[in-house]
Amino acid sequence: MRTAHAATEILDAGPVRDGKVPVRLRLACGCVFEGTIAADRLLEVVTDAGDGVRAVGKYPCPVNHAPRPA
Amino acid sequence: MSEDDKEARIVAARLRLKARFEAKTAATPGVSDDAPMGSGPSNRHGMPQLPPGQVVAKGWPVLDLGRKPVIDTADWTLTIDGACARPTTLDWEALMALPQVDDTSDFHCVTTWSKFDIPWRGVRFAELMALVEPDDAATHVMCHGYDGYTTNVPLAEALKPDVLIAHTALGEPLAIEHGGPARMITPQLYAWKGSKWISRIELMTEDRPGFWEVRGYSMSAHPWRNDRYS
Repeated sequence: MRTAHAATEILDAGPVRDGKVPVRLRLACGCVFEGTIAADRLLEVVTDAGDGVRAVGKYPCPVNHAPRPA
Repeated sequence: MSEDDKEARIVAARLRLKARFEAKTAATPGVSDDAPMGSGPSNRHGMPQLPPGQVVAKGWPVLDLGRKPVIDTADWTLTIDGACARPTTLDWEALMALPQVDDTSDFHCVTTWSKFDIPWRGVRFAELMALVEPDDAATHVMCHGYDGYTTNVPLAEALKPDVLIAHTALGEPLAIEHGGPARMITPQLYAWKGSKWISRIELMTEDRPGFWEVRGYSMSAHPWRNDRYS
């Protein structure tokens, strides 16, 4: 069964086309997810360090790490 | 059964549920933890407004299994069955005929974003339980969505007054992408415990993992304990 993890960092994001955006994301397990996601998953957030953008949602881990924090 | 008899039965069932679960609900972490994690002013249950590891979202993201079932209210039904005395299937009209409540609550997604103060309208989950009268042995529910999603919730959590089958958000009918026409919300648990496009509530006599729980996410999902994983 494929495991999935929250993204902790946006490593790269390409242009939005038809509501989708190509991304490379660091996952909570430490692995990298590479694929195309809905553009509204890149979300503006407010943090103590200032405003920023997060990738929300869970993404499949390429090596099936159990879903625990890295 | 006359309408008066039915109402009396529902009131009696409501009281039985309250007697059975009041202490258990009061002991749940979302209302009873002495030293909850998080930051910001207290929410209405005494927990920090922002649970640990969360950030405040400016928008309202859409997260699902990749399938967004389009269910017209004319075709919508909600089945409540399993360990209960009076299993039933509600259509949209029957749902709307139940007491409706407005409640503004926060939304905490396990993927680390929170959205504060969402105004919802819907039917209290507890109202549905009074309709079907859970067996004494019932301890949990499995909520099923039209998209094939499942998630488990303890009755002691689900019976809290802010747990709704919501059909309206931000003053508008709940959009399909947010789980419309009706979804469950669980403001005191991570939001994945509230099934979008809810189609069935199955009463269970023991806990069983749902879609994300099978994949390593928490059975209990308490935001102020950072309880994300099993």
